[in-house]
Amino acid sequence: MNTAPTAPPRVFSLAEVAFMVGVPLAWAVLLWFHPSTDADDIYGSLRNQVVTYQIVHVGTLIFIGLMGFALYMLVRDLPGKAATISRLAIGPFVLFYGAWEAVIGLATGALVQQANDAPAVERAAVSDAIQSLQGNVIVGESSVAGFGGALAWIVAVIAAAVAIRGAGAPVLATVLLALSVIVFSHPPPIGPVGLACFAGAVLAFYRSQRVGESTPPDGSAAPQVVHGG
Amino acid sequence: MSTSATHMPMDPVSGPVADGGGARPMSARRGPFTRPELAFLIGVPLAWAVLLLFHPTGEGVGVTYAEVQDKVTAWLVVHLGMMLFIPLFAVAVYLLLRGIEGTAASVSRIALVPFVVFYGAYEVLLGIGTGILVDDVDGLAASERATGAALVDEFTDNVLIRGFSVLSSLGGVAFLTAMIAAGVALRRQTAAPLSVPILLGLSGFLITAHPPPYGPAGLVLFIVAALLFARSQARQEQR
Repeated sequence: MNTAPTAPPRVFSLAEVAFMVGVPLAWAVLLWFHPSTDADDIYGSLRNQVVTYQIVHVGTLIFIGLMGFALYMLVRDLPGKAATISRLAIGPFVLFYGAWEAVIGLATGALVQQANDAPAVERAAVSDAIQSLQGNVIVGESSVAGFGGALAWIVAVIAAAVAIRGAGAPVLATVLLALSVIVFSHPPPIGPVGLACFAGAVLAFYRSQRVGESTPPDGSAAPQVVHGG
Repeated sequence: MSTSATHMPMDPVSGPVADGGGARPMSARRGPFTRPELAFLIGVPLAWAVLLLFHPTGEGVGVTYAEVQDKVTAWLVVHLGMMLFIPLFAVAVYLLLRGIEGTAASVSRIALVPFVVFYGAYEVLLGIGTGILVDDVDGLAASERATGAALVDEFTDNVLIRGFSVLSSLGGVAFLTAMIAAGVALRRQTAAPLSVPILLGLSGFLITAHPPPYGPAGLVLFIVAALLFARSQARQEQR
């Protein structure tokens, strides 16, 4: 943390803003194709759309890492306890949400594909295995990994919202960022809406930074732009 | 966790020095490691190495139901631990590069992200996913186990999940990149002994093939590299 408490907040570069806006928007587009599932009959609801399901979840695995990085960029140089909490919570989010996603998305997709390729008499057994996986307490639909990942995201985002507010972000940016907590439930429409809120928050924060940079309150030269590593 | 590019490498005598990323050794760190940092650098790989000693063998060349069916608890415990140790080890490498700038250090830090994401996902799928399925199959009636076993074998042969799969390859390459680049960065920017980058590179190859003896041996090499680097930093500080 190289920003002293009295220093003006660092103004993001255009490339940084493009990343922090582009990643959630690209993930939001991908998530629109997320097939809906019936929790009591996963195989039945996915057997005809397994390729889409797998593509969405391979992409989601990548986007979890990228979103963690985007949120880290947002709070990287902000001072204070809230920014520190946000940075610390990003790791568990990527870890647990990624693990949960890998099993719920990729393992389920692989098993559904296997069931489709299996002889008809064996499909019931594979379907049971898929249901059993969803019900697992460690990595299933309502599991330690899923709950831990969601909780870490909520903490990271709420703390980030507090941190950017403390750094002079407008109320709109703060509220939009706080609203993006809903991303932990990623299927549409909730996931894409939450991601759009995140992108909107970044843009609103960036706009306020630019305005603050061009109109310093004391009429002196604009604050120096320092790009942290 | 933040390391700022605004930290100019400092020469103990002449002050700040430019970071050209070249081969000229220069002191770029902010002093020797603290005790907690050193404890983390040694403790994480050591604990992971101990855990890996209990890894049921067979991973990497194709895991089958027959290999895991009697060892499912050990299999699950080891792979749940792996899920935690993969990011912790990434933090250890990040800590090793603390305060070091330059292209190689940046490459290493960036490569840690795909390592955690892809190698972590691979471990979760092959380790935990397979463990859960094997546990389920163990609970089936004897007449249904053959079908269940075939299901497990097909699952572990999936293109995303098997040894040398998409995920393990991406994660493994990212890890090797991170370790080799970390070695180059330490050598170039801090005048670390030549043995440090060599040990880090070797440990990268061994850790990606993580069942014993390779994984634990690679982690021990990492510890040795970290200790050698810490000692060289302490000596530089004394001069």
